[in-house]
Amino acid sequence: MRFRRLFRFTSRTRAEIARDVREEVAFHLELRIRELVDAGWTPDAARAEAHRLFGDVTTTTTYCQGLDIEGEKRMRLRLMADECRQDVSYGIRMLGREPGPTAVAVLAIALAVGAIALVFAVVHAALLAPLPYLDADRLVVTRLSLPDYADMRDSVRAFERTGVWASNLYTLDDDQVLGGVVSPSLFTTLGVSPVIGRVIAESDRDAPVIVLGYNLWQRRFGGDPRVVGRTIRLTGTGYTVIGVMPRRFQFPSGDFQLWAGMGFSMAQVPGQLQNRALRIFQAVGRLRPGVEATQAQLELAALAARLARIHPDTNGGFSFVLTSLRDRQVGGVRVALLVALGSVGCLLLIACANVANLVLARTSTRLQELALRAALGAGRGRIARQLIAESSLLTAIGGVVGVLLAGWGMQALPALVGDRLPRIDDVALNVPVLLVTLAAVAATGILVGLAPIVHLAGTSLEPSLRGGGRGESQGARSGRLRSSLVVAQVAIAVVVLTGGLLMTHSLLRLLHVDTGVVPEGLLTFNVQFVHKPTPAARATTAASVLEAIAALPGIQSAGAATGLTPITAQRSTTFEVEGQPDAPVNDRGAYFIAASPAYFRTLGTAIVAGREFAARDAADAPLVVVVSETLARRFFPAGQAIGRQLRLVNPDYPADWRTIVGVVRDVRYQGLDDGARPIVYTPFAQTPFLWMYVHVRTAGDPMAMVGSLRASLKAVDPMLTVASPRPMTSLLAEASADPRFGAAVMTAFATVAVLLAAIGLYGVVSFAVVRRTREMAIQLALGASPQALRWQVVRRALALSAGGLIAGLLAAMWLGRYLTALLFEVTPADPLTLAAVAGILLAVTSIAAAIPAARATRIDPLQALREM
Amino acid sequence: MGHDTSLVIIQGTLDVMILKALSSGAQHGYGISNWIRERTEGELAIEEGALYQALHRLAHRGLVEAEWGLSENNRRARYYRLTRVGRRELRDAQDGWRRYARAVSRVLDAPA
Repeated sequence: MRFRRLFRFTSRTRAEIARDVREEVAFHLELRIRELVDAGWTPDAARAEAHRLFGDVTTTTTYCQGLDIEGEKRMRLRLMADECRQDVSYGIRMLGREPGPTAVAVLAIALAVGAIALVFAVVHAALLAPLPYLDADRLVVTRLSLPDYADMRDSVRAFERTGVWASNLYTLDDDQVLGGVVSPSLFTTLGVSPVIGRVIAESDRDAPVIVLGYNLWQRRFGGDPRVVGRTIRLTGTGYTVIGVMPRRFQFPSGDFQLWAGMGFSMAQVPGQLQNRALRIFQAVGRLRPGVEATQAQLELAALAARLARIHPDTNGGFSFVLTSLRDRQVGGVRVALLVALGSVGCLLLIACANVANLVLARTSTRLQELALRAALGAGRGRIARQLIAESSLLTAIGGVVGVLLAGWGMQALPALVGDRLPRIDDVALNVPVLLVTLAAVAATGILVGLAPIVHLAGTSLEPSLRGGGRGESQGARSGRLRSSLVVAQVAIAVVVLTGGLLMTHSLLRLLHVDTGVVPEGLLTFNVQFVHKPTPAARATTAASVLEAIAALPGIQSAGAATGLTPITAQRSTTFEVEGQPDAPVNDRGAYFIAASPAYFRTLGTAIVAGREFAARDAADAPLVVVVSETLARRFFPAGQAIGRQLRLVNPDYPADWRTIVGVVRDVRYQGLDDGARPIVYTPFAQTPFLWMYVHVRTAGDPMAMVGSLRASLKAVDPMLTVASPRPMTSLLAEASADPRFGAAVMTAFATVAVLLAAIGLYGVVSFAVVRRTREMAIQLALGASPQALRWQVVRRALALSAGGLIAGLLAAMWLGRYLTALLFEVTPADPLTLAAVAGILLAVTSIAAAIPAARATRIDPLQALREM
Repeated sequence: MGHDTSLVIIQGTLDVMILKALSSGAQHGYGISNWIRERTEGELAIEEGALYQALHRLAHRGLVEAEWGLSENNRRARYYRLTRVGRRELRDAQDGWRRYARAVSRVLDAPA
């Protein structure tokens, strides 16, 4: 055959194509000329005729070259796609060959990727997704009093609009709902509109109007749109519902169920409009376009300085603390969420190291096969591509399963975390979450794929083929790489474990806080006196209620106070101690609680000195106070508090001197982690608030008493209700619920991290044992004791582990500063915790190494040597 | 596109003729050119440059493939051969052309 095929797939460069076309045309012209010359033409005439017959040579050449170059490109793409397909199908075959390890690897990646997706989705919803307000980034908040707010509104130029609100507990039937008392300007400042009806407007003035939150509307009114215009009773007062807010409107947090017009509420307590010290209000300001928050902060500082000069009593030393609305909403959980995200990131890294180790082990045992492929003409690049295809496949499957797990986890999330996290309803597998997950999967693929490539890069493949087995040098090389991976993975696991143990340690400290009360058998509920116009009427009603309750069978004692431990102190005040008017104002702040007789006895709070309030501390009796131990210690270090005098610096009450009649143990009112604060107690009869929390000590199950308590309250006054009855044990549990949840989550992360690291250790030790079988067989044959061999193996593992431990502890101490915000009475470098980390890790290492070590000593020396 | 001076042949006809020329075996451009000239007895004026453009176009479409080979007198020449797709295309084109010609002939030969 005259036609001979030279190549199957010719891959030609641009220059080669150009040359080919030129040559082809030249060949044609040459043959044509020769033919013409043979026919008798002169060479010149023949050349001219050949060119005439051909037409313009340049046109044809250019045209053909263009076509060929384009065709070549297309061909190359097709070849690449073919190779890719081959690599993937090869990868599938390889993964299928060892289904067990493959499944473990896929599962490890899936869990880590799923955790990343889930935690990032929560972080995204809480910290990154825009708040549902107009230009929410321009909204800032600060705590202040109403007169301060009026000054701020009128003088701070940085704000385009401002609104103000305070929170208030309302009784709706027998339930308590948290509501906002809001200025009409709040809604325009936020730029929100209702789903039905309208929001509160300036024209509502002093009318009792409320806007319902979406959840309350659904729960209590079945989503009935006709609720608008209806009057509902809140704490005994009729309010007209004028609108319902959308579901995503959770201002200032998801706990708020309704918003009442400030006009009406302030008309009930006109004193608050003038009280500069009553900083229970929060202002929200919308920054003017182009104005930075720092400018607003400067203006507020100037205003604070001016107010301090004009009103030194109330504003001396006070400054406005400006935070962004988002920080206010999520500030508390930001650190926790970022710590969680960091931890799952660590888990992913550990999982990557595990999978990389697995792939590496597989590569080592496959060197021979790879060498064969290389000998058959596969380039190093092609082999690398095959390995990458294999690890990409592994990560891709893991990633898909992980996303499915995350989606499933998101369904379960609300039930697991409830309202502990902000905007939990918005957690979804949306585009940003999927993108971040994709990035995590890609990073995993690269990390996992890199290991065998790094290993291969410095390895010559030919000896593997010739040597017929594991080349000793390559084995050592692979072993070193795998060992460094394990050290890294142990280090990361140590970081997560330290975090988990620190949180657990902190939780234990928190649970051992002396709350100052005996919780068992104690029931609390709220009673409102808003419908009682005069202080005297409130004092009388409160006394009658407590008297009626105390007479009930099954009640050992009953008392009441305006604060509820450990949930809220409700009010604070500035005070002045007789003879010490110059004490710094910062030291003269205290929680301000009005308490009934027998309150401390009911709580089980010890009286350190003097007495608690009694019936004789009536409105017209001499003014008295009881103070907390911390206050007494600070102002009367010699212990002579009883009989000394103290007065409230508080516009709500006259600054009369009140005699200290008792000192009581510290009670934690604002959470367990609040520390021991100064507390000033006044007799309820002398300072009757609009509400009280009744505490009753019962003989049996506290909740069983609710029915008879309700009846006895109705007997005193039909308007009174037992609102939100809760056993003290459940309040205490609630107060520690967040740290408990945090510690549980971190402990779970730590457990997984340590397990993954243990698996990694186990793998490396096993591999080393297998590789050193011959050496150990010789040692055994030479009379080494099995114990000595076992110890050799375990010692090696412990050495690896110790390296990781030291690196991990250093990293943990450095990273610990991010954790401080979550820790209670524990420092990130807490020696006890760090020692526990080391102990746990070394124990786990010993166990992980003991299994392959035991296998090593069961070697039959003769057989092992024969097999080599 | 190169400019076609041989407007005398209907568009696409040249492609079919090339495919036909290759149906009996691989051939280089010069051979194809001569093959067509012999068959048409010089009645169709085909510019040889256009023939090469058509060849490369057919190669681009995957109807023919080109390879360097050795010619009768042992010279390197670019040989073209039909691919499977090209062979099918030729068959279809032949059928189409015959039906077309038959239809046109029937009209032209019919009594007026």
